[in-house]
Amino acid sequence: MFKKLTVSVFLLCVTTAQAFAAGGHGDHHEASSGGLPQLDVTTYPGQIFWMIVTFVIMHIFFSRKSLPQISKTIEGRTDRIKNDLDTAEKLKDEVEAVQKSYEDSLTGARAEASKLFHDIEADIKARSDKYAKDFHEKSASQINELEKAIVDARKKAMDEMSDVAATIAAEAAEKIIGVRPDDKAAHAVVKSLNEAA
Amino acid sequence: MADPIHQFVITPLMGEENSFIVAGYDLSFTNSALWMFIAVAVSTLFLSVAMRKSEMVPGRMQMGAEMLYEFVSKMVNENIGSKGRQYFPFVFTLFMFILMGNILGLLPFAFTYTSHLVVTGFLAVLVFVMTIAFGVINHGIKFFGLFLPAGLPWWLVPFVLPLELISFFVRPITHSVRLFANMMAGHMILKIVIGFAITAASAGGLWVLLGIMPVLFNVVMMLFELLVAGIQAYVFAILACVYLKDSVDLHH
Repeated sequence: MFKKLTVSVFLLCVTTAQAFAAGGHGDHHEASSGGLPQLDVTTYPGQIFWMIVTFVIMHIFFSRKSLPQISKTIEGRTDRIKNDLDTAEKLKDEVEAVQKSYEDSLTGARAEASKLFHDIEADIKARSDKYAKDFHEKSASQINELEKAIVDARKKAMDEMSDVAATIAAEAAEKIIGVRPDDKAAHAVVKSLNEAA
Repeated sequence: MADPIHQFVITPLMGEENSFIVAGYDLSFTNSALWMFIAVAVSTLFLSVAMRKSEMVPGRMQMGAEMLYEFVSKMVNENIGSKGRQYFPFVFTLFMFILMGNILGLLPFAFTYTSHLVVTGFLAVLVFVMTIAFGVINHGIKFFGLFLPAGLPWWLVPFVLPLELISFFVRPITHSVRLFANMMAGHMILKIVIGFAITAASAGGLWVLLGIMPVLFNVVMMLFELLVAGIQAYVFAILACVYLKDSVDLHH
């Protein structure tokens, strides 16, 4: 609002001043022979001359100083922005690479851990299986031995019993009938009786 | 009443005894020359002060200078193409010279040198001659193939050739008259309308109150003329680009 007002007041002042300028000129009509001043050929050489002078000054100043200066500034800024963007891009790539390697190592570690876990599990299983088998075999052989020992002991006991029976039979026969039978014959009889039983 | 034509009169400023006459031509320092020098001073001073520090983050003035640069640079690139870089300083100077003439001419007591046909005509002829000269330098005799569009059937040549020739040679006229007529008409309207205010004011009595109307009208006109000043400088420069394009590119 304030800006608009300022502009309006400024334009009003300029317009009023224009009015004074116009009024000032109005008083003294010069002897310019009427017609448009633009068509007054005598002014042409002067206008062209001064225009060439000023245009050349402007051109030299702009092309030698202002324009290179501005283009250098703009290019510098563009380069700077491009460099910054490139650096940002590079850093982003680096971060991504680091992230990737981190994730790779994490995955590797996970795989290794799971492998180790499996290995250990298998190892434990194998070892416990082996122990169980060994124990089985060992206990089976011991049982066999014991059974064999029992059988032997029984056989031995039976044999001794046969001996005892033969001896008792022989003694009994001696007492009853006063005849001492041959030990061997007694044994054979007991034996045959045993087998028949 | 103020004479609306009077503002265009060229007057020597140094007096009769200092008139500068070379080979019979009067080259005296005039109001037109003075405002040309003021234009040079203002434009060079503006660009120098604006780019004094050449900061990475531009301030207002530097922003303005850079916008002017980008504006003309874009205009040259879009209308002439990449080969147009050689013309960039010329087009920039042309644009600034006309823009300064148009805008400074709106100041009170100022002289508008772009309201003179010889000034706009000289600039237009300069562009015209540059087009032909650089066209012949770049393309030799082939440059004149410009007047015969590619793929034109032979029996159309007698019809198209005169048209192309006329449209080519009429260029400096339309180019210069457009700017000159716009500037002259605008300044005449400003002066005529303000003349009404002066007439009303000198009539006295209640007529003075009526004088406020043309003043208010001129406030709007001033804004409009400011717009025209910019647009006409832009139009002149862009047409210069379009014409100069023919000197680097033959196909159109």
